[in-house]
Amino acid sequence: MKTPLLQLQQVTMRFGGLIAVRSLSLEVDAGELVGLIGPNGAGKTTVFNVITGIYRPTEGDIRFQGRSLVGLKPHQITRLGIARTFQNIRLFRGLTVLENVRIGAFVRHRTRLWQAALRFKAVEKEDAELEARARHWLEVLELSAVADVRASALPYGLQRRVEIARALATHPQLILLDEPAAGMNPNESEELMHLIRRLRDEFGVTILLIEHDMRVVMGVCERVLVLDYGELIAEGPPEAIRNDPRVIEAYLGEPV
Amino acid sequence: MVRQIFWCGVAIAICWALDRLLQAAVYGQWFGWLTDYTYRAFILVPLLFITLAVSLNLINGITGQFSLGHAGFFAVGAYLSAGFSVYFASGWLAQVPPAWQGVAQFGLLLMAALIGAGAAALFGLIVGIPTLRLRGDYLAIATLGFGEIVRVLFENLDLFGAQRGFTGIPTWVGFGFFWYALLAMGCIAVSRNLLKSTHGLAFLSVREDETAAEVMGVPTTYYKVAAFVIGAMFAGAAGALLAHREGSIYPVDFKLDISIVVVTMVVLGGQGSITGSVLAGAGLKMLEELLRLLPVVTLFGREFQPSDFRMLAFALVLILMMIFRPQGLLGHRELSWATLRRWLSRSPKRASVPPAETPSLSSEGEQMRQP
Repeated sequence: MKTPLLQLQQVTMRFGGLIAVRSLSLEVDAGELVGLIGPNGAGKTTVFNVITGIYRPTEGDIRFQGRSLVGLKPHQITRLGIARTFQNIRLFRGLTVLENVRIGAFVRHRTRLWQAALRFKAVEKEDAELEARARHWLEVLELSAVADVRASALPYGLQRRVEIARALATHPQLILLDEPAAGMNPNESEELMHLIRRLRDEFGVTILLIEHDMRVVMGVCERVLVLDYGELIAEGPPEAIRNDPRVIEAYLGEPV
Repeated sequence: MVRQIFWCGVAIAICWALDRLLQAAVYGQWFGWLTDYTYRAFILVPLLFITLAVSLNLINGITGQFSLGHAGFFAVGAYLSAGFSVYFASGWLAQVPPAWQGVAQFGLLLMAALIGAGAAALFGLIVGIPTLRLRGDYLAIATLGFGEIVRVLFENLDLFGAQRGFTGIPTWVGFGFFWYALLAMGCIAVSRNLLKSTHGLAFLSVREDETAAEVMGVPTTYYKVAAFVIGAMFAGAAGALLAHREGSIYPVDFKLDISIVVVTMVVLGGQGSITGSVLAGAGLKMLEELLRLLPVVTLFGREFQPSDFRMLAFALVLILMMIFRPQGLLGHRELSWATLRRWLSRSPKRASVPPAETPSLSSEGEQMRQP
């Protein structure tokens, strides 16, 4: 059997007396488009934080391509090929859009700091390469027009797109999107769904996303995981999830 | 490699030529106002503070680690390099045949400066480590403590003259402009190179949002410590030059005041702006010297020396800046030919709206931090 791209084994995350994630096991295969849903406080973002190394899980193991991530620093995990966006947008607000995305591309740098201090040719060459990669992602996400605008000056929807561009610039195999459609109008979330599908189909990025907008989740995800009180209560294709009585009770509510 | 050596050569040639010219002007009394005193007050000391401000800008402005310990690095560089010269290098120099004295002196001064820079860099590393855990105010307090500890240490070490001051340091720097200007240029060049490269963005990302930077793959610990090490290195070299120019150094030269003045310069110039630090560094030091030229004032039956108003003037400058230009003189920008051209070509109507506050979708952001 093929090893899954991402594998959580019995992961528990405890904050003092609070158990945010309880003995959670899940798998994401390469090329999948998976949704993670659940009521507020169910531990969805904690799962992301545990995967990206912001928190170290209290118990359990996380494997990416068969390799354990537990104990690695976030930047090392990013280097291995996991990127993410944040629920409350965390762009580098004082920097331009292009600079934001260049920082994402920076994870693949090879030159040393002292070489940069003395402006070696290799640094100049690498700068050009990294900038070209950043501009490529701006192009893909149709952000080229605002490349030189300060990130904080952009409207909300565009800021979300810049975050995705920045994450993609790290050249991930797996991207974790934390509520990418939050605060978007129906038109924008329609575009977003299109974009998410494109990322997977065109660029082969595996996607795990947290989302409250059921239209987006049901419209784009092939498999949905439902979390409640830190536990996985259901898993399956969108149609099955929509009709699952436990999910309806915990999260979706009775269909109107 | 060739390019780096070429530019080093150019910098050395420029500094040397200007040094000669200034020496001729000062000693030949070309201008009435350019005396040994005004040269020191309006050229040499500002150059030293440009180095200090630009190097602190790397820590405070670019990486966003609020450090109040710059005087500490400055002191470490000054005292340790002076110790090397007094206890070792002077003896070595005495054994060198007279014909080679000049060359030997040059080499030993370079060594002393490197020792000062290296020692300060080591202390930067030591101070940098706690920054892994401390943020904001806590870091400021810790670095403040470091600076004071260093000063008190030298104040109590008899080996370094304790409170009497460390005297008898060979004045190998001589006239001084050459070395001071070379160090300032080196410091500016390194800062600019870093900021221009993608590595520079890594420093900036730490300032902007440390967690996001880490998640985007920036080893934030490494960059924070690196900022401290590089910044401390230049401050240490500056201290070494001061010691070997003045011939004597005193613990009071490295009081907390110095750290605060340098922080003021960085804030005034605009956090992260190299040219801002240069302007503010030179400007504040010159302002201080200008204040000394004021007459003695008698207020409330007490005589006030004009320099007593120094801190008052600094505070006034800072308050005015907070009201009218909270982002600092240059904000996050750099002064460059392109910016200058843009300012000159801008119509008076638009000039009333500072662009930093009203970023539009046009090419406004383009001017940010371009060399």
